[in-house]
Amino acid sequence: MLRFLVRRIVSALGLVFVVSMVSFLLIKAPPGDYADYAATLAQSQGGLSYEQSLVLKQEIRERLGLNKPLVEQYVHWVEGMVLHGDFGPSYVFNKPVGELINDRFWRTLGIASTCHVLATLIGVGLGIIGAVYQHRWGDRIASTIAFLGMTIPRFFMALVILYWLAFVVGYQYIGAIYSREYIFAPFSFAKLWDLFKHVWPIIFVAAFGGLAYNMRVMRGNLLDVLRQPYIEAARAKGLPGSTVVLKHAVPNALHPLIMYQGIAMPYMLSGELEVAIVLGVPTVGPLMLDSLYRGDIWVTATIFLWLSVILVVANFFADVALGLIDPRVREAGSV
Amino acid sequence: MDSSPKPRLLEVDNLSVGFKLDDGVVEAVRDVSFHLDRGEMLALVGESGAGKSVTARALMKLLPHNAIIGRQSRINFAGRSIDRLSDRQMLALRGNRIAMIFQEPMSSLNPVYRIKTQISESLIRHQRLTKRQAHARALDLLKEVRIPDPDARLEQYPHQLSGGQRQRVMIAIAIANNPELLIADEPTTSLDVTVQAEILKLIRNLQIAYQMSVLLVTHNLTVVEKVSDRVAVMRLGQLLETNATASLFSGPQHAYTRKLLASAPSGRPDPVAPNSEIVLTTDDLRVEYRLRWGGVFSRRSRILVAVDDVKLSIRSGETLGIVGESGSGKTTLGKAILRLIHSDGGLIAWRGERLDNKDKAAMRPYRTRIQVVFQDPFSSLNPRLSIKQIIEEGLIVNRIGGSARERDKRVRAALVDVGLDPNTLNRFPHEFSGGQRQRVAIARALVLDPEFIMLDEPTSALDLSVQSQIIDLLRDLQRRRNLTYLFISHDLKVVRALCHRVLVLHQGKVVETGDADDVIDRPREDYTKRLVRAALEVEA
Amino acid sequence: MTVFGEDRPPRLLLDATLAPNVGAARPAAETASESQQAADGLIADSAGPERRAVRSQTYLSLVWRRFRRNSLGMTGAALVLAIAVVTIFANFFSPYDPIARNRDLIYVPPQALHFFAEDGFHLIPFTYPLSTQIDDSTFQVVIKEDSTRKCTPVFLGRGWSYELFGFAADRHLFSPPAGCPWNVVGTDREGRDVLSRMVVGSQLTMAIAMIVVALSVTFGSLIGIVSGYVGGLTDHWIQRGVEFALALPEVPFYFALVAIIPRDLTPLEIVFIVCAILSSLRWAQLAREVRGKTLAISRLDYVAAAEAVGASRWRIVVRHILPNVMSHVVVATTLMIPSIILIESFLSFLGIGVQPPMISWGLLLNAAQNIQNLGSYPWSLSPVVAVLIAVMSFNMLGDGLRDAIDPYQQ
Repeated sequence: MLRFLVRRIVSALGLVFVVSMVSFLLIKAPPGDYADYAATLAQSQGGLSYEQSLVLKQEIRERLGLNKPLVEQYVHWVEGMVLHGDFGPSYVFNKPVGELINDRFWRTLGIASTCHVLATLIGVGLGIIGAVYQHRWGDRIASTIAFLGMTIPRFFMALVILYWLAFVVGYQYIGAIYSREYIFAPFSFAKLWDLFKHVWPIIFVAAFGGLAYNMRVMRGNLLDVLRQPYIEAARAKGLPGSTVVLKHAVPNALHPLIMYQGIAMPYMLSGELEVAIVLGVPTVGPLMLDSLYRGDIWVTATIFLWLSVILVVANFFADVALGLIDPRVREAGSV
Repeated sequence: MDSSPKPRLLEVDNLSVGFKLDDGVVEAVRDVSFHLDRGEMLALVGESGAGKSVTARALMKLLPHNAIIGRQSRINFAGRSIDRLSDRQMLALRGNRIAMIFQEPMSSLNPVYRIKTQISESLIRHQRLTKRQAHARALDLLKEVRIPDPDARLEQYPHQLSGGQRQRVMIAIAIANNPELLIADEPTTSLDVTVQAEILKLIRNLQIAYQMSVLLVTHNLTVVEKVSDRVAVMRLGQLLETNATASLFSGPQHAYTRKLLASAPSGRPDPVAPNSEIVLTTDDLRVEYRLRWGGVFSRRSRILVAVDDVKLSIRSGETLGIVGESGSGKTTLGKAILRLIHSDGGLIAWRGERLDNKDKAAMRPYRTRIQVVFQDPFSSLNPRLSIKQIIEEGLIVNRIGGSARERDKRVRAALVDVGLDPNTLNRFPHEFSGGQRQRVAIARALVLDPEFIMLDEPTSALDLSVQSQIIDLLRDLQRRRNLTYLFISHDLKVVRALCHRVLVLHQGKVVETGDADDVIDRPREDYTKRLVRAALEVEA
Repeated sequence: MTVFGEDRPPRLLLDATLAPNVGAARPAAETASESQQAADGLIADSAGPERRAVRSQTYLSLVWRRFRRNSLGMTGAALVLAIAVVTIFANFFSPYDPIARNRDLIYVPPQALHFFAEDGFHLIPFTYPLSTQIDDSTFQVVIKEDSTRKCTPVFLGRGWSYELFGFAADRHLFSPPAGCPWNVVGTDREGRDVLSRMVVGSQLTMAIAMIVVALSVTFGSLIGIVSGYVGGLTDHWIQRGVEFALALPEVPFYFALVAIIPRDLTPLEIVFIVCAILSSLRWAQLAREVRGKTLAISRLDYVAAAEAVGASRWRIVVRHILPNVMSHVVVATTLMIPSIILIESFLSFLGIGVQPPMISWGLLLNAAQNIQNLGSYPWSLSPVVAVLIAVMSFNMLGDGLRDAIDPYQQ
C-alpha cells in the first residue's frame, strides 16, 4: 500500500508542477507587465511625465526582477507562493491576489463539494434503480431524469431560476452569499440556513447536471457486473435479490465509478462556476470572469492555478479511495 | 426399477423453458423428463446449444427475467413440487438443500471479498451461525475440500488463488449446508486436466460422505464415462436418451448418441515417409518474462522462464504434438518458433537456416513457408473484413498472384480445399459457425502454400462433432500436400489421433518425448503418467 | 468478452442467452445446426451459409438493422437530419434578413401565430401587428393586437436576397409581407427578427461544433492508436499528457486562455481561436478510450495472424485496428457535439466567445445576460430552444448508435 501511495504522490506532484508552469506562462503571455501597469497608474493618477514613467518602469522591473530570464522569474514566483503566500498583484483592485481570492475560493470549494457529494449519491442511487429495473418504469424515469440533466444547459437552468426568483417570486436572496445581518455574524445554524437560502439554486443546478453522468456510468457498470458469474453464484447461495445487488454487485460497480470521479469533479467545478456567474453569487466564478473582462491577468491565472491544484489533490484522494476498495489495485501498485 | 416407497430425490416431468425476446419466444428446452435418486450422479450431456445449462438452472429457478417455464412442467424435489414456487420461497432451498457450482471458477467468486466472508455468508444465511462460528466452520470446510494451507486461504482474496483452488472454494460453499442435491454446471471445463481429475474425485468423495445426489452437466464424454452413474443425452432442447453409463456407452440407442460417441477423436495419422528430412529444429530455446512490481522506491522483479531450454526437431510430413497444461509454456513455445514473440536464447532453424536472429523484415520470406492457425475461431478473424479479404491478405502482403483475378482464383481454391463453398467468399465471419470459421482460418494459412503449419489448440473451442471433422480435414490436408504440423494441445485424445510424435512440456521444460503411442500408452516419467491417467481415466 | 464490433447472430438460442455463459465462445444457434447436420450425416460445413435464409450482411448493414429498431435513436437521427437541412439552407428558412435593423420594431414580443380568422381557416399562419401602449392607470406596458390587419407571409415567396452556393437567390420558405411584421419569436434590441437570427445562427454554431469535433477526434484518435499500439515509453508519456489534460477544469481553463487573446482580432479570427481553445482539452478523453480499445484489439488473434503472414505495422494499424476502433470513435464524435454546443453557448453568452456581428446561438443569448433585459424581455431566452433541440437530437442519435454498435454495452 505504501508503494502505491508513494507512486500516486509523485504523479500528483508532477501534475502540479506542469499546471504551475502553464499558469506562469499564462501570466507572462499578455503584453505588458506590472511595471507597465504601475507606470500607467503613476502617469494618470500621480501626474508623472512620460519620461519619468519610463524611469519608474525600469526601477520596478529591477526591483521585482521582471527583466530576469523566465526560468528565474518562475522560480521566484513559486518561492513567493510557497514561502510567503504572495500570489501577485491585482491590477484592478490594487490588492494582493491572495486576499482577493481567499474567501471566495473556500466558498466555491464548499459549494462545489456539496454539489459533488449530492450528485454522486443521487446519481448512484438512480443508476442502481436504472440497472435493477432495466427497461421497466424505474429505469425509464431514472434515465429520463439523467437525460434532462445532461441536455439542458446549466446556465439556462440558472437563468430560468433567476427569472422565476426575481420576477415571479420576488425572492430577496439573490446576488449575494449572506444577508446583510449575517455577513459578520459568528457561525450558527441560522447563518448556515441563510447561506443555504442564497446558494440553493447553484447546488440544485450543478447537482442536477452532475447526477446525470453519474447515473449513466453507474447504470452501465452495474449492468455489466450483474452479468458476471459471481452474481449468479451469489443468487445460487440463496441470498435475496436486494443483498445480491447491494452487497455483491454494487461494490464491484463502484470501482470504475471512482475512476470516473476524476472526470466528474472538474465538471462539477465548472458547473458551480457557470451558475454562480449567472446568479451573481460572489464566489470564484464571477471574479474570474470579471478579471477576464478587465485584463487582470494575475487574478485569472492564479484562480486557474488554485482550481487545478485542488483537482489534482482531489484526484489523488480518489485514487487512494480506489486502492482501499479494490485489493487488486493495491497489490499491483498502480491502477 | 425402484420399488422403495421413498420418493425420488428429483423428478422432472415435461420441463419446457422458453425465452421471451424482442421478436417472439425462443424455445430452449422442450418436454424434458428425467429423475435422480439419492446418492447417484446423473450426467447431463450434449453439445453446445443442447439446453443442458438451462435445464440445470431451471431446477433452481435461476433463470433470467425473460424466461418462461411451460405450463405442463413439473419439478418435484424430495416429494415436494417446486415448479410453482416464487423466487422468495426458492431462497430457502438455494444454497441450502440444492446447491450449484459453476463453470468459471475464475469469475464465480466475488473479487472484493475475502474467502472466509464468502463461505461464511452461506452459513450465516441458512444456519444462523454467528460470524465466529461461521468462520470456524469455513475453516473446516476448506479442510474437507483438501485445499492446501486452509488458514492462509481464508484470509485471501480470490485473485490470489489458482483456478483449481477457487473451484475447491466454490465446492466448499456449495456443501456448507449439507445439500441433498448438487448441481455442477461444467465444473471442470476451464481447468487443467490433472486438476480436473482431482476435482472430480473430490466431488465423488463428498457425494459418498454426504449422501448427496449430483447432477453433472458436461460435454466431456470421457468424464461422463468414468465418473457418472447414469447419463442423459440432450440435443437442441430435447432429451433423447437416458441410461446407465455403461449401458449407454456400450449400446447407444438413439442415432444422435451413436453419432456423438463416434465423434470422439479416432484414427491415426498416415505414417511418415522413412527418408524425410528434418525441417525444423530448436536447440536450447528460451523465452523469459520479466515480472516487475512495486513502486518507485522498492521495485522488485523476478524472471519467469516460460520456455526453458527446449530442444525439438520435426521431420517433413510429420506432426509433432506439444502437450501440456496451462502455464506449461506450449503456446509461448509455438509463438516463439514462429517468431511472433522474441526469444531470449537458443536456436531456431528452418531447413538449416537460422531464424532466431532475423528481424521482422528478414522473416518475411519465411512467412509463406511457415504458417499458423489459432485457437479461438472468433477472435482470429477480423469481423470487418470479408472472408475473401481475410484469406487474400497474405497474398497481397507477399505479392503472390499478380492480379485480383489471380488472387481470387487462389482464394477459391483454398476454400474448396478446406471444404467450404467458394461462393461464400464475400460473406463475413459472423455469418459462419465456429467450425466453419476455423476452416477459414486454415484456408488463410493454406493459400500461401506453406510447408509447415503451427496449430495452437485449433479444436479446443469446438464441439465434439465439429472437432472430429476438423481433425479429418487436417489429416487429409497433410496427406495431400505433405504438410508438416506442430500441433499444440492439452487434449491427449486429439493428439493421439493426429500426431506422430509427442513432446510433453511442464513449466517450460521438456519432460518426455517420443512416439505418440509410446508416450501415451507407456509413459515413462511421473508427470506424464499423471497427465495420461488424468486425461484418459479421469484419475488423479 | 465480446470483441468490439463483433456480433453474434440475432437469433440466440439456449445457453448463449444465459448471461453467465457469455464467456463461452460458442454461438449456440450455429453449432446447434451443425450438430443437427452432423447427426443427419451430412458434411456440415461445406454448404453452410447457403442453406440458411440469411443474406450476406456487411457489418454496416447489421448495425443499421439494429439501429432501426431503436425508436429514440431514429428520432434523434431524423432531428439531426432536419437540423442539417436547416443549417445548410439557413437563409432560405429565415423570413427576415438577420442583420436588417428596424427602429420601429425594437423589442417586439413574440407574435402569436393564428390559423383561424373570421373568414375561416388559413393554411399559412398569420399574425396581427402589435402595438404597445402604456396603460394610463397602472403605467404598465400593455400589448395590443390590431386585428384589423392580417400579416400573412407568402409561402415560397420572394424576400430579402442572399447567396446560395455562389448563386443569388431570394426565395424563402415564408416571406413576410412588407410593412406587416411577422416576428414569430419577437425582435431584439435593434429590431432584428430573433427567429431569423436563430436560424442563421445555426450555421456558425454547427460550424464551430464540426471544426472542434474534427480537430479533437482526429488528434485524439491518432494519439490513442499510437499510444496503444506502440506502447512502451511513448505510451507512458502520452498517458501522462492525457492525464494532465483530463485533470484540468474546463471552464477556468477556457477563461484563462481567453484572457490571453489579444484584443484587436477580427471576429472571424476570434472564431478560429475559440475553436482552438475548445479543442484543447477534448481530445484527451477520446485518446484514452481509443488507447484502451487499441490495446484490447492488439491482443486479439487476428492481429497476430496478420503479423504471421508478414503484414507491416502500418498495414495492421490501418486495416485491422482502425476499422474496429472507428465505430467507437463515431459514437464518441456524435456525443461530443452536444457538449461543444453547450460550452460555446455559454462562452458566447458571457460575451467572451463569438463576437458580433457574427451570429451564433450563444451570442443571441448574450442579450439575456443583463437581468433587467431578462425581466422585461424574457423572449431573449428563446434561442435556447435551438440549443436544446440540437443537444437532445445528437444525444439521442449518439445513444442509439452506441447501442446498435455494441449491444452488450448498455
